[in-house]
Amino acid sequence: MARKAVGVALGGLALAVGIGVVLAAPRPSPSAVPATVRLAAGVQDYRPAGEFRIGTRIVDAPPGRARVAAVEIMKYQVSEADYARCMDAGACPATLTGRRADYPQTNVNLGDAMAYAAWLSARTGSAWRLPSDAEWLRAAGNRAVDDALGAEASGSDPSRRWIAGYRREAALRGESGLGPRPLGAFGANDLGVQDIAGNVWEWTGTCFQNGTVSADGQTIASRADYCGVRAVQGRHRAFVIDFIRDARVGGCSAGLPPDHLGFRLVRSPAR
Amino acid sequence: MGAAFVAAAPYVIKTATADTATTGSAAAAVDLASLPRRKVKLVAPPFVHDHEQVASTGPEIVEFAMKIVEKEIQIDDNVWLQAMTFNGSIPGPMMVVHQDDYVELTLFNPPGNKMQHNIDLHAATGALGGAGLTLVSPGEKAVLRFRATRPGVFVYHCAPGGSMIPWHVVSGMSGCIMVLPRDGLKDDQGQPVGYDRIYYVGENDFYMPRGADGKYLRYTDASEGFVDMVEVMNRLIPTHVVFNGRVGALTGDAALKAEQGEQVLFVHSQANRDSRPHLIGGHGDLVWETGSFSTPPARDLQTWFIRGGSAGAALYTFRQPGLYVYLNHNLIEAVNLGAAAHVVVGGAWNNALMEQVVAPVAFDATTEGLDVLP
Repeated sequence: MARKAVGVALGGLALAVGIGVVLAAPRPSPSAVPATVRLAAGVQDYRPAGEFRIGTRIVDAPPGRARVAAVEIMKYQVSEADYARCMDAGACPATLTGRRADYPQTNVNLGDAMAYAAWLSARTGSAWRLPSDAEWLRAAGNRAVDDALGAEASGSDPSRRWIAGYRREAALRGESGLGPRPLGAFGANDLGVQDIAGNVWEWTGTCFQNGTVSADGQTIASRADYCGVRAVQGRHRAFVIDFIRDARVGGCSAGLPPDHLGFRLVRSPAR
Repeated sequence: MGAAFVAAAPYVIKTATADTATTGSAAAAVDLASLPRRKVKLVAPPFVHDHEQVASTGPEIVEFAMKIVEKEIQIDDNVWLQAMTFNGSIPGPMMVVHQDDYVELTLFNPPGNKMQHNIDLHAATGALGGAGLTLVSPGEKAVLRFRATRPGVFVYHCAPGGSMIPWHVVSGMSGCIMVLPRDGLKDDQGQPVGYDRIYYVGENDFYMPRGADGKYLRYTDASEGFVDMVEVMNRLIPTHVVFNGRVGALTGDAALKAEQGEQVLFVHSQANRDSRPHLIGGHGDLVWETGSFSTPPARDLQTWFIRGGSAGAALYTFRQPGLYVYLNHNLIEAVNLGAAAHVVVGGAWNNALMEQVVAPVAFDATTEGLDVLP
C-alpha cells in the first residue's frame, strides 16, 4: 500500500516537473527569488533520523560528526500565495490554500513540496530542493533539539522509551497547536531564520532509516532506508508518510503528531 | 433568544405545572432532619472528587452546587463552540454518592447568562429526572433533592424543552453521577472489588457549521449559531467526537496516568450517541456495560458498548507499562474526529506477557517462509 502510493506520488511529480519547465524556463524572474539565510560550511554534529536497535532494544541513534558545505535556506516558509502561483501554473498539485502572501502554505505533502521546488528552480534558474534533516537542524540554530532520550530510555524495557519520548514531545510541543499564524509570528532564531520550530512542521528530503547499532552504541552497523516515510522537522522530529497533508489525523494513534505540514527550500550558494 | 426558544418554552411550563401537582403541598412532607448533611465540592473531569468506595455511615444528604457557564470554548484548532456547560467544563463534573443517599443539588444560572437551563438526572425518579423542577432563568437558582435509589453510573443533561434539548446537550451540557452500592462494587462472583484510581471520560459529539469556504463558523453567542447548528445536527453526522470537551484534551501533558498493578476505573458517558470504548493493549477486566451496578459485571471484554444516553464503567488492572490509547473503537471517530485519550503507565516491562522476538529486519523472499506462507 505505502510503496504503491510512493510510486504514484513520484509519477505525478515527474509530470509536474515537465510542465514547470515548459511554462517557466524561458523567463526566469529575479524579483521572485526568495530571501535566504546562508549557512556557512563547517563541522556538524548530527544524530541520524529513524529507528536504531541493539538486538531488539531501541536505542538512540549514534552521534556522528561530518564536514558540511555551505547552503542557503529560505528565510521564510513558502507562503500560500507562492504555492498558489505554482498551482495556477499547473505545476503544483491542488491543495487547500488561502492564497495569502503573509501566511505559510500548509496542507502539503512531500510530492507537493517537491513539485514546488522543481517549478521554482525552473522559474529562477537555480536548483532549489528540500533540505536534508541535517541541513534543517543547522538552520534551526538555537531552536534545534537533539532527539536522544538517554540511557534510561534505551534499556530492555521498551515502555520506558515510549513514555520518555511521549513526555518530551508533549513538553516541546507546548501550546503550538494553534491555528496557522502569519509569516514572522514565531520570530527569527539566532541565524535570522524565521518561524523555524513554530507550529508548522517542515518536510525534509531525508528518508526514514531502520538500523542497527554497534554494541557500544557509537556506530551504525547496518542501515536500510524506507523513503515512503520522511523526516519532518519542527518542535520535535517526526516521521510522516509521504502522501499525508495533515498529520494530525494521519499519524499513529499513540504519538503526538505535527500540527501543520509546510516547507521551505534550500539551494547551493553561488560561488 | 431565538424564535425556537419561545416556541419551546410553553412545553416546559406545562410539564413544570404537571409535576407541581405531584410534588407540591398535596404530597406528604418527608422529614429528613435526622439525616446528616455533607457538602462536596465538585472537580473538573477527568478527575473525580474524593469519596468513599464503601460507605462508612448510613444514608446522608449530600449537597452539591453547580454553576451554569455559557462561554466560547475551543474544541480544535480554528474550531470554536459557543458552549453551554455545567460548572464550566465539558463534560460537567461527576458526582459520587451511595445508594439511598439523598442528592441535594443547587443549580445556579448566573445573571450574565442568556438562556434558561435545567437538569435531567437519569439517576433520579420523577419530574423528568428533575428537569421539571429545576428550570432556572439567568439570575435564578433552584435546589433539587432526590433519593439515589438505584446503584450505577448515570448520565445527567440539560433538557429545557423542545428543540432546546438536543441543542443544549450537543453544546456541552451533560455529565455523570455515580451511585455506589453502600458496601462497594462487586465482581462477577459477588466478591468485593475496589479501584486505586478513577477517571471520568465524558464523550461529546459536536455538530459545527461551516461557511461556503469550508471553514468552521464562529458566532458571537450561542443563539446566533442555533439555526446553522440544527441543520448540521439533523444530518446526524458529527463533525467532532471528543473526550473531555476538545480534540486531544486527554493527551500530551494532560494524558491520564496510572502505575503497573493499579486498578483503574474508567467511567464513560455519552448523553446523545452510541460509543464503543476500547483500551488498546489492555482490556476491561470487569465491565458494567449498561451502567447498572445491580447486575454483575461482564469479565474480560475487549470493547464495550455505551448506548447513547447512558454511562458505563470498566475496571482494569494495568499489567504492563507503556503508552496506552483509550478510544472509541469506531476508528474514524477516534482518529479523524477526536475520540481518543492517552494513558501513560509506569512500571517494569514483563517479558512473560510480551516480548519482541525479532526486531524488524530484511528477509529473503525467495527462501524464507515458503513452507508456511500462502
